[in-house]
Amino acid sequence: MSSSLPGQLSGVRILIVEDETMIAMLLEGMLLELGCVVAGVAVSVATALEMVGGLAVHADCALLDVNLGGEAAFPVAAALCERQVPFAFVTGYGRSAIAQQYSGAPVLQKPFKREDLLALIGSIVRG
Amino acid sequence: MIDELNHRVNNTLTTVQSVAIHSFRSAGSAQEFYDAFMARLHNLSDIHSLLRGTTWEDVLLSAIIKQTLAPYATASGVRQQRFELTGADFWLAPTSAAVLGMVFHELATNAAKYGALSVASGTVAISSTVDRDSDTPVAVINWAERGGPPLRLPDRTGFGTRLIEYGMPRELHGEAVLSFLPSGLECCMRLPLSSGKLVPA
Repeated sequence: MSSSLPGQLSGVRILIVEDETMIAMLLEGMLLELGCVVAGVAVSVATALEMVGGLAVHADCALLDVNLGGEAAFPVAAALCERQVPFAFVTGYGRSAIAQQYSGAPVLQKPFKREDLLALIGSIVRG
Repeated sequence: MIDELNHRVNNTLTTVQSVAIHSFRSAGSAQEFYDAFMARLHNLSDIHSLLRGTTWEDVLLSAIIKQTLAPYATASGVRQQRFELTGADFWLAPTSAAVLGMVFHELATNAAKYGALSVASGTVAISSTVDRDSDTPVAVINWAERGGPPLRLPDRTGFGTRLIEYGMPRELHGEAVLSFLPSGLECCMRLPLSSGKLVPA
Protein backbone atom coordinates (compact mmCIF):
# COMPACT_ATOMS: atom_id res chain seq x y z
CA MET A 1 0.00 0.00 0.00
CA SER A 2 1.27 3.45 -0.89
CA SER A 3 1.98 5.85 1.92
CA SER A 4 1.37 9.04 -0.06
CA LEU A 5 -2.41 8.76 0.11
CA PRO A 6 -3.34 8.94 3.80
CA GLY A 7 -4.88 12.13 5.06
CA GLN A 8 -5.54 13.74 1.69
CA LEU A 9 -9.23 14.21 2.40
CA SER A 10 -8.75 15.35 5.96
CA GLY A 11 -12.02 16.13 7.72
CA VAL A 12 -14.36 15.41 4.79
CA ARG A 13 -17.55 13.88 6.21
CA ILE A 14 -18.92 10.88 4.33
CA LEU A 15 -22.21 9.03 4.72
CA ILE A 16 -21.96 5.36 3.70
CA VAL A 17 -25.12 3.61 2.49
CA GLU A 18 -24.23 -0.07 2.06
CA ASP A 19 -26.01 -3.20 3.30
CA GLU A 20 -23.15 -5.72 3.21
CA THR A 21 -21.02 -5.64 6.34
CA MET A 22 -17.66 -6.49 4.77
CA ILE A 23 -18.06 -3.92 2.02
CA ALA A 24 -19.13 -1.23 4.51
CA MET A 25 -16.10 -2.10 6.68
CA LEU A 26 -13.83 -1.89 3.61
CA LEU A 27 -15.16 1.58 2.77
CA GLU A 28 -14.85 2.74 6.38
CA GLY A 29 -11.23 1.56 6.59
CA MET A 30 -10.22 3.22 3.32
CA LEU A 31 -12.04 6.47 4.13
CA LEU A 32 -10.39 6.70 7.55
CA GLU A 33 -6.99 6.15 5.91
CA LEU A 34 -7.75 9.02 3.55
CA GLY A 35 -8.50 11.26 6.53
CA CYS A 36 -12.28 11.31 6.09
CA VAL A 37 -14.78 11.23 8.92
CA VAL A 38 -17.42 8.50 8.55
CA ALA A 39 -20.55 10.50 9.36
CA GLY A 40 -22.74 7.40 9.43
CA VAL A 41 -23.34 3.98 7.95
CA ALA A 42 -26.87 3.10 6.81
CA VAL A 43 -27.66 -0.48 5.85
CA SER A 44 -31.16 0.02 4.43
CA VAL A 45 -33.21 2.61 2.57
CA ALA A 46 -35.21 3.27 5.76
CA THR A 47 -32.17 3.95 7.97
CA ALA A 48 -30.54 6.04 5.24
CA LEU A 49 -33.68 8.19 4.86
CA GLU A 50 -33.79 8.65 8.64
CA MET A 51 -30.17 9.80 8.67
CA VAL A 52 -30.54 12.13 5.71
CA GLY A 53 -34.07 13.43 6.24
CA GLY A 54 -33.86 13.97 9.97
CA LEU A 55 -30.61 15.89 9.56
CA ALA A 56 -29.29 13.44 12.13
CA VAL A 57 -26.14 13.28 10.06
CA HIS A 58 -24.21 16.09 8.46
CA ALA A 59 -22.30 14.82 5.43
CA ASP A 60 -20.25 16.53 2.72
CA CYS A 61 -20.80 13.57 0.43
CA ALA A 62 -22.60 10.22 0.39
CA LEU A 63 -21.63 6.88 -1.15
CA LEU A 64 -24.66 4.86 -2.22
CA ASP A 65 -24.86 1.16 -2.91
CA VAL A 66 -27.55 0.76 -5.58
CA ASN A 67 -29.17 -2.40 -4.23
CA LEU A 68 -29.89 -2.39 -0.49
CA GLY A 69 -31.16 -5.83 0.45
CA GLY A 70 -33.28 -5.97 -2.70
CA GLU A 71 -34.45 -2.35 -2.44
CA ALA A 72 -33.22 0.30 -4.89
CA ALA A 73 -31.34 3.18 -3.26
CA PHE A 74 -32.91 5.87 -5.47
CA PRO A 75 -35.23 7.28 -2.76
CA VAL A 76 -32.05 7.99 -0.78
CA ALA A 77 -30.58 9.74 -3.84
CA ALA A 78 -33.75 11.88 -4.03
CA ALA A 79 -33.46 12.83 -0.34
CA LEU A 80 -29.79 13.73 -0.82
CA CYS A 81 -30.65 15.93 -3.83
CA GLU A 82 -33.24 17.72 -1.72
CA ARG A 83 -30.63 18.38 0.99
CA GLN A 84 -28.05 19.31 -1.66
CA VAL A 85 -25.66 16.64 -0.45
CA PRO A 86 -23.58 15.37 -3.40
CA PHE A 87 -23.31 11.63 -3.82
CA ALA A 88 -21.83 8.86 -5.92
CA PHE A 89 -23.08 5.34 -6.57
CA VAL A 90 -20.87 2.42 -5.56
CA THR A 91 -22.09 -0.61 -7.41
CA GLY A 92 -21.35 -4.01 -8.84
CA TYR A 93 -23.97 -3.50 -11.55
CA GLY A 94 -22.36 -0.83 -13.70
CA ARG A 95 -23.98 2.33 -15.06
CA SER A 96 -26.93 0.54 -16.65
CA ALA A 97 -28.49 -0.02 -13.21
CA ILE A 98 -28.65 3.71 -12.40
CA ALA A 99 -32.08 5.32 -12.80
CA GLN A 100 -32.24 7.82 -15.66
CA GLN A 101 -32.63 10.95 -13.49
CA TYR A 102 -29.36 10.16 -11.64
CA SER A 103 -27.33 9.22 -14.73
CA GLY A 104 -25.18 12.31 -14.17
CA ALA A 105 -23.97 11.07 -10.76
CA PRO A 106 -20.48 9.57 -10.57
CA VAL A 107 -20.26 5.76 -10.36
CA LEU A 108 -17.56 3.80 -8.56
CA GLN A 109 -17.39 0.22 -9.80
CA LYS A 110 -16.92 -2.58 -7.25
CA PRO A 111 -14.31 -3.79 -6.51
CA PHE A 112 -12.52 -0.45 -6.17
CA LYS A 113 -9.07 0.79 -5.20
CA ARG A 114 -8.36 3.37 -2.52
CA GLU A 115 -6.92 5.60 -5.25
CA ASP A 116 -10.27 5.45 -7.10
CA LEU A 117 -12.09 6.42 -3.92
CA LEU A 118 -9.69 9.33 -3.35
CA ALA A 119 -10.15 10.60 -6.91
CA LEU A 120 -13.93 10.23 -6.72
CA ILE A 121 -14.41 12.05 -3.41
CA GLY A 122 -11.80 14.64 -4.32
CA SER A 123 -13.69 15.50 -7.49
CA ILE A 124 -17.01 15.68 -5.64
CA VAL A 125 -15.97 17.88 -2.71
CA ARG A 126 -13.75 20.14 -4.77
CA GLY A 127 -16.51 20.57 -7.33
CA MET B 1 -29.81 -12.37 -15.33
CA ILE B 2 -26.29 -11.50 -16.51
CA ASP B 3 -26.54 -8.16 -14.65
CA GLU B 4 -27.46 -10.02 -11.48
CA LEU B 5 -24.54 -12.41 -11.93
CA ASN B 6 -22.11 -9.53 -12.53
CA HIS B 7 -23.42 -7.79 -9.44
CA ARG B 8 -22.97 -10.88 -7.29
CA VAL B 9 -19.47 -11.60 -8.60
CA ASN B 10 -18.39 -7.97 -8.08
CA ASN B 11 -19.82 -7.90 -4.55
CA THR B 12 -18.07 -11.19 -3.73
CA LEU B 13 -14.77 -9.90 -5.11
CA THR B 14 -15.18 -6.75 -3.00
CA THR B 15 -15.88 -8.89 0.08
CA VAL B 16 -12.69 -10.89 -0.59
CA GLN B 17 -10.80 -7.62 -1.03
CA SER B 18 -12.12 -6.49 2.34
CA VAL B 19 -11.16 -9.78 4.01
CA ALA B 20 -7.64 -9.51 2.50
CA ILE B 21 -7.11 -5.92 3.68
CA HIS B 22 -8.43 -6.61 7.19
CA SER B 23 -6.29 -9.75 7.45
CA PHE B 24 -3.27 -7.79 6.23
CA ARG B 25 -3.80 -5.00 8.77
CA SER B 26 -4.05 -7.32 11.76
CA ALA B 27 -1.29 -9.78 10.80
CA GLY B 28 2.09 -9.61 12.55
CA SER B 29 3.91 -11.54 9.81
CA ALA B 30 3.48 -12.89 6.28
CA GLN B 31 2.76 -16.34 7.70
CA GLU B 32 0.09 -14.95 10.03
CA PHE B 33 -1.51 -13.12 7.12
CA TYR B 34 -1.46 -16.25 4.98
CA ASP B 35 -3.02 -18.42 7.70
CA ALA B 36 -5.73 -15.93 8.67
CA PHE B 37 -6.62 -14.98 5.10
CA MET B 38 -6.79 -18.56 3.81
CA ALA B 39 -8.92 -19.66 6.78
CA ARG B 40 -11.35 -16.78 6.21
CA LEU B 41 -11.46 -17.42 2.45
CA HIS B 42 -12.23 -21.12 3.01
CA ASN B 43 -14.95 -20.19 5.48
CA LEU B 44 -16.53 -17.88 2.87
CA SER B 45 -16.25 -20.66 0.31
CA ASP B 46 -17.91 -23.17 2.69
CA ILE B 47 -20.79 -20.76 3.30
CA HIS B 48 -21.19 -20.23 -0.45
CA SER B 49 -21.32 -24.01 -0.94
CA LEU B 50 -24.18 -24.20 1.55
CA LEU B 51 -26.01 -21.33 -0.18
CA ARG B 52 -25.44 -22.89 -3.59
CA GLY B 53 -27.01 -26.09 -2.22
CA THR B 54 -30.19 -24.13 -1.55
CA THR B 55 -29.93 -22.25 -4.89
CA TRP B 56 -29.27 -19.07 -2.93
CA GLU B 57 -32.32 -19.29 -0.69
CA ASP B 58 -32.53 -19.19 3.10
CA VAL B 59 -30.38 -21.56 5.15
CA LEU B 60 -30.65 -22.72 8.76
CA LEU B 61 -28.50 -21.07 11.42
CA SER B 62 -27.59 -24.56 12.71
CA ALA B 63 -26.27 -25.53 9.24
CA ILE B 64 -24.11 -22.40 9.09
CA ILE B 65 -22.74 -23.04 12.59
CA LYS B 66 -21.99 -26.73 11.89
CA GLN B 67 -20.31 -25.92 8.58
CA THR B 68 -18.21 -23.12 10.06
CA LEU B 69 -17.17 -25.08 13.14
CA ALA B 70 -16.48 -28.37 11.33
CA PRO B 71 -12.70 -27.74 11.10
CA TYR B 72 -12.62 -27.33 14.89
CA ALA B 73 -14.96 -30.17 15.83
CA THR B 74 -12.23 -32.51 17.01
CA ALA B 75 -9.41 -31.72 19.41
CA SER B 76 -5.95 -32.17 17.92
CA GLY B 77 -5.90 -35.91 17.32
CA VAL B 78 -8.58 -36.54 19.93
CA ARG B 79 -12.09 -37.31 18.71
CA GLN B 80 -14.47 -35.70 21.11
CA GLN B 81 -17.45 -33.44 21.09
CA ARG B 82 -16.16 -29.87 21.33
CA PHE B 83 -19.45 -28.13 20.65
CA GLU B 84 -22.88 -28.33 22.19
CA LEU B 85 -25.58 -26.77 20.02
CA THR B 86 -28.99 -26.35 21.65
CA GLY B 87 -32.19 -24.35 21.38
CA ALA B 88 -34.23 -22.70 18.69
CA ASP B 89 -33.19 -22.68 15.04
CA PHE B 90 -33.64 -19.86 12.51
CA TRP B 91 -33.83 -19.43 8.76
CA LEU B 92 -31.27 -16.92 7.55
CA ALA B 93 -31.37 -14.86 4.36
CA PRO B 94 -28.17 -15.42 2.30
CA THR B 95 -26.43 -12.17 3.35
CA SER B 96 -27.32 -12.80 7.02
CA ALA B 97 -25.96 -16.34 6.68
CA ALA B 98 -22.70 -15.00 5.26
CA VAL B 99 -22.12 -12.44 8.00
CA LEU B 100 -23.08 -14.83 10.83
CA GLY B 101 -20.84 -17.52 9.33
CA MET B 102 -17.96 -15.04 9.48
CA VAL B 103 -18.82 -14.18 13.10
CA PHE B 104 -18.72 -17.86 14.13
CA HIS B 105 -15.48 -18.31 12.19
CA GLU B 106 -13.86 -15.43 14.12
CA LEU B 107 -15.12 -16.82 17.44
CA ALA B 108 -13.83 -20.32 16.60
CA THR B 109 -10.38 -19.20 15.41
CA ASN B 110 -10.00 -17.02 18.49
CA ALA B 111 -11.01 -19.97 20.70
CA ALA B 112 -8.53 -22.22 18.88
CA LYS B 113 -5.71 -19.72 19.36
CA TYR B 114 -6.35 -18.46 22.87
CA GLY B 115 -9.56 -19.92 24.29
CA ALA B 116 -11.37 -23.15 25.04
CA LEU B 117 -10.39 -24.81 21.75
CA SER B 118 -6.67 -24.27 22.44
CA VAL B 119 -6.68 -27.10 25.01
CA ALA B 120 -7.98 -30.67 24.72
CA SER B 121 -10.48 -30.33 27.57
CA GLY B 122 -12.16 -27.11 26.42
CA THR B 123 -15.70 -26.94 25.06
CA VAL B 124 -18.09 -24.40 23.60
CA ALA B 125 -21.83 -24.28 24.28
CA ILE B 126 -23.93 -22.48 21.68
CA SER B 127 -27.54 -21.86 22.59
CA SER B 128 -30.32 -19.91 20.97
CA THR B 129 -33.74 -18.82 22.13
CA VAL B 130 -36.41 -16.30 21.23
CA ASP B 131 -36.89 -13.54 23.78
CA ARG B 132 -40.57 -12.56 23.54
CA ASP B 133 -40.48 -10.22 26.53
CA SER B 134 -39.00 -7.36 24.53
CA ASP B 135 -41.18 -4.97 22.51
CA THR B 136 -40.46 -7.04 19.43
CA PRO B 137 -39.30 -10.70 19.55
CA VAL B 138 -35.53 -11.05 19.56
CA ALA B 139 -33.34 -14.01 18.63
CA VAL B 140 -30.80 -14.49 21.41
CA ILE B 141 -27.75 -16.47 20.32
CA ASN B 142 -25.10 -17.21 22.92
CA TRP B 143 -21.55 -18.58 22.58
CA ALA B 144 -19.97 -19.72 25.84
CA GLU B 145 -16.49 -21.22 26.21
CA ARG B 146 -15.58 -23.49 29.12
CA GLY B 147 -12.45 -25.28 30.26
CA GLY B 148 -9.97 -23.04 28.46
CA PRO B 149 -6.78 -21.42 29.81
CA PRO B 150 -6.98 -18.14 31.77
CA LEU B 151 -8.17 -15.42 29.40
CA ARG B 152 -5.81 -12.80 28.07
CA LEU B 153 -7.03 -9.28 27.53
CA PRO B 154 -8.78 -8.91 24.19
CA ASP B 155 -7.60 -6.78 21.32
CA ARG B 156 -10.50 -4.35 21.13
CA THR B 157 -9.40 -3.04 17.75
CA GLY B 158 -8.96 -6.40 16.01
CA PHE B 159 -11.00 -7.31 12.95
CA GLY B 160 -12.94 -10.12 14.66
CA THR B 161 -13.99 -7.91 17.57
CA ARG B 162 -15.15 -5.12 15.26
CA LEU B 163 -17.01 -7.53 13.00
CA ILE B 164 -18.78 -9.12 15.97
CA GLU B 165 -19.60 -6.07 18.08
CA TYR B 166 -20.07 -3.50 15.32
CA GLY B 167 -20.32 -4.74 11.73
CA MET B 168 -22.66 -7.73 12.08
CA PRO B 169 -25.11 -6.06 14.55
CA ARG B 170 -25.38 -3.06 12.24
CA GLU B 171 -26.34 -5.26 9.27
CA LEU B 172 -28.82 -7.31 11.35
CA HIS B 173 -30.16 -4.33 13.37
CA GLY B 174 -29.20 -5.96 16.66
CA GLU B 175 -26.40 -5.97 19.19
CA ALA B 176 -23.59 -8.27 20.25
CA VAL B 177 -21.49 -8.18 23.38
CA LEU B 178 -18.22 -10.03 24.02
CA SER B 179 -17.62 -10.79 27.72
CA PHE B 180 -14.25 -11.99 28.91
CA LEU B 181 -15.36 -13.94 31.97
CA PRO B 182 -13.19 -16.04 34.32
CA SER B 183 -14.99 -19.14 32.99
CA GLY B 184 -14.16 -18.25 29.39
CA LEU B 185 -15.19 -15.96 26.57
CA GLU B 186 -18.89 -15.42 26.01
CA CYS B 187 -20.59 -13.73 23.10
CA CYS B 188 -24.24 -12.78 23.38
CA MET B 189 -26.02 -11.69 20.20
CA ARG B 190 -29.50 -10.16 20.28
CA LEU B 191 -31.00 -9.93 16.79
CA PRO B 192 -34.56 -8.64 16.36
CA LEU B 193 -36.85 -10.87 14.31
CA SER B 194 -38.68 -7.76 13.05
CA SER B 195 -35.83 -7.05 10.63
CA GLY B 196 -36.88 -10.11 8.59
CA LYS B 197 -33.22 -11.10 8.30
CA LEU B 198 -33.81 -14.16 10.40
CA VAL B 199 -37.02 -16.09 10.94
CA PRO B 200 -37.79 -18.83 13.51
CA ALA B 201 -37.56 -22.26 11.87
